[in-house]
Amino acid sequence: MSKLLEIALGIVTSVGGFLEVGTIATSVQGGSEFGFRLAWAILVGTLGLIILVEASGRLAAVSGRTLADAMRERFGFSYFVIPLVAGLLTGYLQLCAELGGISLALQMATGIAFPWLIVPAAFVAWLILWKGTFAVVEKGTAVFGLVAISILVAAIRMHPDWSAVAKGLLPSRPSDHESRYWFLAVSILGSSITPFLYMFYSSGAIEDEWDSSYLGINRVIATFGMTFGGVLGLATMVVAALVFLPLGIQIDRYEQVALLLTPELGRWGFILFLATLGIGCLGASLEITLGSAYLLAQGFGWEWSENARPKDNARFSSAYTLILILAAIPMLWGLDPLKVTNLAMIVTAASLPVTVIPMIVLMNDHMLLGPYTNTWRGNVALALVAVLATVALLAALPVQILGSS
Amino acid sequence: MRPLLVVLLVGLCACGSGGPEKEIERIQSWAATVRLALAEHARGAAPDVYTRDVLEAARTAVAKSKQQLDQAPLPDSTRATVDRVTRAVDSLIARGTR
Repeated sequence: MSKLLEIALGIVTSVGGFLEVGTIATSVQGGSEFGFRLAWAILVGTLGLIILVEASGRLAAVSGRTLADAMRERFGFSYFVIPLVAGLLTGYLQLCAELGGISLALQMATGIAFPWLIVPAAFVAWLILWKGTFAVVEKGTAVFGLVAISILVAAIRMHPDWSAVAKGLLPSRPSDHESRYWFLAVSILGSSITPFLYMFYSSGAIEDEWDSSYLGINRVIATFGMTFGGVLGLATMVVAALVFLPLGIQIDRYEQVALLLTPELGRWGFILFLATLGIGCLGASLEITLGSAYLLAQGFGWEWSENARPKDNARFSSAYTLILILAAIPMLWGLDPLKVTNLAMIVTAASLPVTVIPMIVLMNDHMLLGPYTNTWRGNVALALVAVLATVALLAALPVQILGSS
Repeated sequence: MRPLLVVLLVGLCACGSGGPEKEIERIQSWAATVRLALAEHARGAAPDVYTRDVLEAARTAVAKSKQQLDQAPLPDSTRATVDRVTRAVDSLIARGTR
């Protein structure tokens, strides 16, 4: 029974944690400009994420090491610096965007300009991390984040042409605005396959004291949790395609996105959207901040645990405090959160190879995984994700320059 | 190799600047946003605070696009389109703020 509960909670966590500022922004932009035609990018991103999350969870459960630990031990600190810097940079940009997302949700509810709300948003995130345990961070916000299911409800109620949606799951070339199309495709990949998700997941497995008896649970959570998350991303794209595309609305600012659910759900749609944005971004802020602190602590060999008192892990708790302060600073100047989000997603997509490619080596290491190393199918899947990550890296700069406007 | 890279990047930057068509599309997109926001406000789905917020965002975005278009060398017919679309958005915003 308790394992069933863990599976349920794990899936809830994955669903709640999936939909954050990056997924919302890129799915809505994709839907409003290209209808269902970029649905394939969500499908590919979700499949990639399932593979990476399952692998990082299996690694943690069997070896007792997080992905960062295993990378540092296997490749040495001189290599580990690369994923460390890439992880901190992408995490930082994403955290800026998430804090912006929370503040914008509050701005749209209260009318107070979002830069004034950045400090309270960052403070609430810090307070939860300081006072809360890992379970509070992981499951608390994720349960509230289930409000995101309202987007799926709206998508179903709007009776989209499901055959057209299914057609969008197959990659296709657009007839025009090609650079913008590929920019959004790479952004969607970056928002789906974010290293903080699978790095955080492996640290969470250690915090939750997983062992090899959790491998089945890991597989179910990775598969169903990420799939449901991907379905929410797809639902967001579908609703945007039905609401914004026919009116010719292209998303320049988050203020426009708040009208996503109102045509179908009325005033409740507005409230549910703000709740989805605010809670989703808060949950993601907590996970990214904690994920960045984990990465630093694991890289430099500090004591780390969100379940311990802050004073017992002083360097770890100081790290997440500093990360939050540093992320709040640029947003105080009123940087456009949507532009920060798009940049963060492209940089994230570009950073994927530095964590994905080493995973192929780690997942075949008998010293780490014993009999649970990758099968040939697992290797093919991981290799495909690595190829995808490399393509994203090569495409990131040109699409950012050509398609970001 | 390095000069080639510089040329490539400069070329990409030049291609990525959007152009007047993009700015006109942006103004039209904001016009549609304002119409949707006002319609949702009229039926009680969008609150006052938010609607004011969107109108302000629209005003700022349209003014920025207009400023860029004013500096661009445009044919008279395109400039007339820009003026017409901008006036339409302005009158929508004015209607909404009343």
